[in-house]
Amino acid sequence: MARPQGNPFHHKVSSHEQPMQSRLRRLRGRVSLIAGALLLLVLGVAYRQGTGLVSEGPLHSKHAFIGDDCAVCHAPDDDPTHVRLDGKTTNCLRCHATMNAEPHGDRARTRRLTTASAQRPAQRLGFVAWANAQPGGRRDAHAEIACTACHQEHRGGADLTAVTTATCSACHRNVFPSFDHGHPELGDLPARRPRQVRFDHATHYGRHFDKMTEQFARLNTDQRATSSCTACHLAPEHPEHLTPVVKRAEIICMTCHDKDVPTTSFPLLTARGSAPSAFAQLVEQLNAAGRLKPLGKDDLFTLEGLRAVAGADLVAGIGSEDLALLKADRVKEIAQEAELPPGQWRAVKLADDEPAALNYRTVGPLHPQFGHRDPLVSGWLAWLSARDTEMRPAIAGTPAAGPWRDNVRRFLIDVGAIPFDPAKAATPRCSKCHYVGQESAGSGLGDFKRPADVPPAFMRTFSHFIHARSGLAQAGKPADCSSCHQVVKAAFDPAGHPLLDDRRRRLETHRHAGDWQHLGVATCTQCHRQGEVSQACTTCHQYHQ
Amino acid sequence: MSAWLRPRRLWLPGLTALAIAGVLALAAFRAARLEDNRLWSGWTMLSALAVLAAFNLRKRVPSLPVGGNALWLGWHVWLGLATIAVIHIHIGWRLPIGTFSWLLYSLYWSVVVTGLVGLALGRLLPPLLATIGGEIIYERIPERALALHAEAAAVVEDCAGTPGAETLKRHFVDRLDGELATPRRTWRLGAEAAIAARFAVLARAAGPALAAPVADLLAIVREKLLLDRHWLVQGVLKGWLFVHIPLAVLALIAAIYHAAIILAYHG
Repeated sequence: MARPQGNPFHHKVSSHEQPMQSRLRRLRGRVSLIAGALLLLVLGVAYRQGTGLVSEGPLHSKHAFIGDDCAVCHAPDDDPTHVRLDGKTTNCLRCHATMNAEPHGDRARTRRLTTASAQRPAQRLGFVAWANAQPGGRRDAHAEIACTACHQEHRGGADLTAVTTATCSACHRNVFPSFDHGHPELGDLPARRPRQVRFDHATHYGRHFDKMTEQFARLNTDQRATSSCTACHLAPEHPEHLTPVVKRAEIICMTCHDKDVPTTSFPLLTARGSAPSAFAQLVEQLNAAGRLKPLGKDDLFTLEGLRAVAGADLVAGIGSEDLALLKADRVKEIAQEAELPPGQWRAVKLADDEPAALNYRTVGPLHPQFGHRDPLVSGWLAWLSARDTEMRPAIAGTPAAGPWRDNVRRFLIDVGAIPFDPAKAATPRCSKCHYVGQESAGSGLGDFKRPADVPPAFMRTFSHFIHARSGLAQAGKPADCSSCHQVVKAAFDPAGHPLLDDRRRRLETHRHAGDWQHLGVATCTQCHRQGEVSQACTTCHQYHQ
Repeated sequence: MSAWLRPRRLWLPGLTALAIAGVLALAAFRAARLEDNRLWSGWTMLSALAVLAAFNLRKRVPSLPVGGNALWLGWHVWLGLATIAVIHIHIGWRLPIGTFSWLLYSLYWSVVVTGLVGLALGRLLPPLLATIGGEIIYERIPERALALHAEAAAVVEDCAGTPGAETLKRHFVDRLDGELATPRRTWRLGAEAAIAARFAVLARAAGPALAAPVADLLAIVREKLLLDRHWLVQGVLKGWLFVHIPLAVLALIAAIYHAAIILAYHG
């Protein structure tokens, strides 16, 4: 049997054989159909069991209480208060406002930006829209941006607040390529904020601190302290931050200024021209007659007030300097509250025919418990400061304003906080270091207080520690504060400072005769530049803190 | 000029590149304005999947006046590649986290990978088929194998009574019956020489009287070898579609399910 030549299969492909190929297609179709049906079955059953399967991802742990119930946020209805999957409307504030968790840290700003459209809950989150509404805003003023535009949920433990530089620049009008190209100049760095003490680095650092190296070294028990700066500026409660807060301020300051806080006595109770027995008798008479009524605070400093409560006849012989008699009641009260150490009171009896006095002796500059802050004087001032802050606005513009200010001033003179004669500054006492009296006339005695215990907010995002330990070393710079900070002795001109209001300008005139050189972008870009240290917005700007 | 550089071959990839650049630019522009990219990219993706799936329907109805198969294949390939950009815009250039998201993402990439594998096979295997020689429809191969078996059986039967026929018959029973019965997916590299040697031995054993039937059987076995190679190569060419198409159907169903969930909670 001879086999034909040509196609070895003795077979010609003809058109009528094409339909046979559809058998394979049908088979593929059946496989696809079965697989699809199985998938739908699985998805349907899973959906009925719960929506966890179709969730885009697990919620952040702070939202984990919501569980798998999508409808808590994503309701399949027209309720505009629900977060919709298209991200156009949100109601994160529905929880966050009521839970007192202000979305962007600044309660006042959040309130201001959300109140205007509070009647339309879906549009309450308007801070970005507000920003855009400013001249030059990059978006339509009425455009709405959802929380989810920046804060992506369903990403498990990923930081909800983490944003990129691109996210920031979506709204911020000052758009620039990077930190080292076009970033606006830093306004007030180091921040020149009002201080509570008369201190400037220009005077101390260059003139006095250099002589105090040994003394500071003895004070310095902190291993991290490596320079004269860190002798003062390393707050134990914030070990990662070298802050403006001075540690052991009293000890540091009193190393030199102990003589400015002398242990001194001043009269608390006097009776001019009275023998001690007669003086005591007078007090007894007042008490027995029920004439020494409890004094209102306003009565402490005015003869009118005194007459009103004690009677004009008994007060007739008492001069203004004898007001200390009535202060004494308050003094005793304060002393009890402050647990005044015994031994600080001293009755002075010079002679039978001389004035008697009850003197108080301050605790001195380095009392083991109180430091240089005498509890009696401090308590007194705290009370007076609170009262003064309360009174001044209430009586501003009234005839009582002048006498009140005079009385406060008189009181401060009495306790030695300010000199009797401002021109005679030789014995300034408290005002040697603290701003009190006429310098704080604009704001009462509110400024007379101890330095802050915690670093200001802007410092909490900035770690000197990182810069000193690694960043500067990597950049080949000395791990020393002077890499960035330079003391300048030129007078600070507050007049043109953009961040100061009128009141602060007035105060700053006195408080920053010399200080640190302004830190500009150029200082930072020595390291924070392309290819080196991060330039991301969030390196410095931490919106949620 | 290379065939791949001819203008008629460049317009589809060029168009695809433009489309990808366009969607990337749109996504970047919207992202810079903090506008959501997920919705439009999702609908774009679903539409693209539908168009890609329509290629299979197009092949079922070749008479439709909507362009030839080659054009549709071109669109299928380049549009499929363009969806890689779209899906990643949709999910924000990160890996999915949720279970269903992973399922959908995995299905998508399975379809893409099997599609690329199929594309590569479609380029590599036809030349291989040409080297095998012959032409036969895949579905006809089992039938042809049976015919060869019957033809061989007839050759052996026709030799009955001839001296040496018993040898031929025993060889058929021992070797050829099983060898020819069904097509086998095997290449059998170097089998030609082995077959020739085997039949040379058979020819000597059967004697000169059976030289012609032995030659016929040799031709039949050689044809079966080619048939087996076609069965292998064409099986691979058609087999990848058994993976690609069901996966594509699953991906499309999952995408529609995903869109339904979005619509349900869209408000």
